[in-house]
Amino acid sequence: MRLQGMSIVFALVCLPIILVIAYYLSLQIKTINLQNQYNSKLLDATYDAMSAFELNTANEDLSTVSDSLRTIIEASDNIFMNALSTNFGMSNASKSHLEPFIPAILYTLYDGYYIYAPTYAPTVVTDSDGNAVSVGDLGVTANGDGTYNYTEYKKKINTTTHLEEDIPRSDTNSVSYSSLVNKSDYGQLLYYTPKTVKKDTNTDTIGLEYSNCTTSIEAASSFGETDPKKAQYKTQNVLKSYMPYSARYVQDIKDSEGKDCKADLNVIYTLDNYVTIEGSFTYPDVDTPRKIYYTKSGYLVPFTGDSLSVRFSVYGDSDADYAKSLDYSENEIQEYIETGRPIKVQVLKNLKDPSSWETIIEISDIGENKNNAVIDKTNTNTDSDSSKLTRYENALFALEEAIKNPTSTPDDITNAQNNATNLLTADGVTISGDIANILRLKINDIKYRMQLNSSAIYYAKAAIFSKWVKDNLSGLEVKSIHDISGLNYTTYIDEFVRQATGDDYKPSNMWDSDDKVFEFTNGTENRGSTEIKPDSTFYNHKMEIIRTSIQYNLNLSMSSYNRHLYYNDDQSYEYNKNTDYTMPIMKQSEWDQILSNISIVSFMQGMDCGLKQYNNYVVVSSSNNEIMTTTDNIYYANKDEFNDENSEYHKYNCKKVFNKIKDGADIENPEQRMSFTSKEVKYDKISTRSTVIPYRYDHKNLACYECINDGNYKGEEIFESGGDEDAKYALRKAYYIGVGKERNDVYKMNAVDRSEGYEILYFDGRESMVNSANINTKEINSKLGMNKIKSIELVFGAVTTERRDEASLTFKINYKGRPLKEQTGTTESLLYSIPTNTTNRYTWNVEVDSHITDTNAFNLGNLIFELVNADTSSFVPEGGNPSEKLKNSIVAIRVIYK
Amino acid sequence: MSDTLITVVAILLAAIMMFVFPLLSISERNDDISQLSVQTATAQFVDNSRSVGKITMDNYTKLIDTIYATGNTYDVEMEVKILDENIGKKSAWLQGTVIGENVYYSVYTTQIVEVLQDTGIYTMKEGDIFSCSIKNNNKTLSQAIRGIFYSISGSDTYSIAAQHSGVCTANGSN
Repeated sequence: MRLQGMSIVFALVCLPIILVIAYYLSLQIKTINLQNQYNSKLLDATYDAMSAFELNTANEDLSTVSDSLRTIIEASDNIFMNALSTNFGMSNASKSHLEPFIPAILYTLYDGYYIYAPTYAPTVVTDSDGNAVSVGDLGVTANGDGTYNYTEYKKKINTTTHLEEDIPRSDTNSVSYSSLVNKSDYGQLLYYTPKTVKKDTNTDTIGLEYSNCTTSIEAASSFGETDPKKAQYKTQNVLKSYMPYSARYVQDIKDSEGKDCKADLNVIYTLDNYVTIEGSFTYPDVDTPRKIYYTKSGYLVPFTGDSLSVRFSVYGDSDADYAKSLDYSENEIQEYIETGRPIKVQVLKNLKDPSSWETIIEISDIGENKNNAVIDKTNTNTDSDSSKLTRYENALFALEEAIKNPTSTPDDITNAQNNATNLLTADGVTISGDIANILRLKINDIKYRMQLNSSAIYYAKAAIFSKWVKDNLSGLEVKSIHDISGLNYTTYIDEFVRQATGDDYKPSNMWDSDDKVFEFTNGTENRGSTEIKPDSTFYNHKMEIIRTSIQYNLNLSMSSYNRHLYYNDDQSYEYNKNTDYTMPIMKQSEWDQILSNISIVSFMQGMDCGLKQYNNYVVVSSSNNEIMTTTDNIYYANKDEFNDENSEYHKYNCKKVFNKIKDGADIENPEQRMSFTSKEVKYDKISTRSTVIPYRYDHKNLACYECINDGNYKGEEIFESGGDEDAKYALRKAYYIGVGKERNDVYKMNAVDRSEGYEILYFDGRESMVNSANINTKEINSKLGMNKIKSIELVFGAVTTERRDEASLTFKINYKGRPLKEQTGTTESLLYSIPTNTTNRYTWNVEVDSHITDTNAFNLGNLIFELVNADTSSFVPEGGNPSEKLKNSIVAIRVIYK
Repeated sequence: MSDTLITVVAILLAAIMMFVFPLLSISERNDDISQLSVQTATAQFVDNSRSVGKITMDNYTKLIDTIYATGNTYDVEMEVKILDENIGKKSAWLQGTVIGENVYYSVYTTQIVEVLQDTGIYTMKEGDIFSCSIKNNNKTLSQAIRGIFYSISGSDTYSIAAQHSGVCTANGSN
């Protein structure tokens, strides 16, 4: 062949190959581009959803209440769908085209998570207003074969009055209860059936008519053979129920008194150090096993075998004083601090050195250093600092509004100024200079004292709660885990037994660990000793639990979507095989992000994307919400500079502030710093009172250009020794106070009102608890010592007196010769009264002084009821024993443990 | 004589068709492939960083590794537009979310890389805008061959370029 010929052949062979490759490559490029576009669109839509969530929580005072939270999340879902459809260039109306591509949206919240996922559900018949229709409603008629018809009756217009009026029931042949064959159908919802046809309405029928609406032919109680084909199914995107981050542990442990018991506990974790523990300790006593039920919740601070990382004292400065202060119950200490009494809080500089205490809060109620605050939650005490604060804030607001309002006259401004002046002079403040500035300083002062108060409550309650955990649950091991919310681990125990019996099969199980659950020592500490270290055993365990639970349930809801039946036009049913939704494997770094902040994870799958199908997910985290606070997002301003537009706010370890304090710049009380969270800067609460000042905005400080605007600064290592110790200590103090205050002020939806335990000692008629009918003849003892008891609940049956006119009896209660709790300021016991001559039962909640040191168990024999007016009372005949007689009326005893 | 001339021309043409054009074509495809992987890597890097709120040394090295694997050398330009919280401040009691009131100041590659080398993490906050653009700074084979036929004026020409940017969606923490 000639060279020319060869070259033509070469060209003929090469060209098509090149063309095909070029085409394929351009397709590839398009695919990748499309994929990147989808990624960005998904990320933007998720970001919008998170913004909506943040805005809604910021402007809703009750955003942490679960019902309210649910609506906020549903709104956020809506925003997500709208944003996504807009990003894809679709109108809002056609967003339903996108819904099938979103197999799940995950909301990880503070103490649990929501999954928003499509669910296949039967379609309920609704009227034109959207209300569900059920059997018995107006317009529903029975066909006799278990199916129903429904005609909607709209209100009809009266021809003479031209007003709407209801159609009388007698006008319709609605189904009534008595006419039903299957009575259990009455009140049940109606569903569309596959045969439902929408009839064209003719002019004389009002509303639409449907046929063959049905529930089941079977009675509800015998709903054994459900037939999905009897109803028309439709995919609906629903927010599934809330799943807590919880795990159940069952293990034999030693309690705080060293007694053996079996703990069966459910622990609910949160994204920060708040923990709720619910469950029971069962003591294997010889005669009858005894049980103490606990419901405890609180912030957990790290502890070692030697010491907690926090301690507080309401007495003196000795170690014994600190130890004694821990006898308070959580509710008592809160009350104590809120009434403005002195307290001192110390934290460990280094968790591993149990003697390295440093004082962070010192509240005093007398003298020059007086810095207490009285918090009055009932709004009855006008002298309390909380109501003073409200007055000052209102005065400042009125003043600023008067100045700002273009329509206000000079008189208005003078009036507002006079009001403020009067208010201040009434409180003994000398006025000199700008009245607004004096008010601001005064407000700052009260706010700072309230901040100290709030922070002291946080640390005191955290110390009490953590001590209980330390005393009781230090021995709890990771391998005692039984369930994680949503999935069961009992099979693991079986394998464990099998292994012990000689089978060489060894299950590989991540929970098979001798590590203790509440173990905080290992890991590096860079946020102070009171923060749980992110690489400690406890933290890792918590993360594993949360992660396992989310993975399991997310996977479940995604893969069950694959198995949905769908309805063909030819009235047959099939499993949907077109989509194959699977949960992608997420990276560790993404889990870290999800589990350290409130996050939204949205998944998008199955959308056509060039040469392949799109399958990706996006994580967006929030740091500006009402639900939780992270230590990184708390900002600080000097007390006197707070809310002053000429000064700045900073992060806790900003070098600029550190250097200023170190160089002895002219700052009064450098350690007195006000804290607030980033969300307060980002989102304003909308003012309901004023049109002149539409926002209630009280953070006028500017953001520091080094640490806030640009986060890339190397902060001062304030928790490490060396350098300028005084300046570091000042910053540390401010940091601890800020963290405590912000945490204490967050409303907790899962908080139990009273963090306590209880044991039922006696219940009349329960043979398992009593051996004799007479309560006096038997020993009734509590399991734990008197020092662990918070109160004793006594339930009385009939208490009779000779004279019928003696309507009530009053008693003092003594235990081992001294009152269980004294009246304030005296050595007399608190008084308890009971109505007489009635068949009703009455309960006394007998408070026990938190400082009783008696470690012996409570014994009913030692309890003496002392009748107050024994001389004149007809309760017992002359010479009788009122205490014994009253004891005979007891029908139940329950001790409440701290 | 004329036959020889035609043969020479034919051989020349054949040589061009057989070697130069396929080479040009293949090298251009090669650039396309590089473009593809660079574009993906850039988008991934930017989306990753802005959704987490931080640029990490890990991600940055990964990006560099991926793009250099194409056999070319690149200029990587990053820019973080930092949202100045103080400008939108409502201390004057004005509505804060007025459009156009947000002001940004920019931080560029050298400053970012300096922080990365120092601490391994460059943090951004919500509302900051992060962008990254990558261009090749060597002469790729296709550019060289094309240069034989027609020259492109200016030295700042590139055939592989990728750009991606977006608003940062989370406060980064170190």
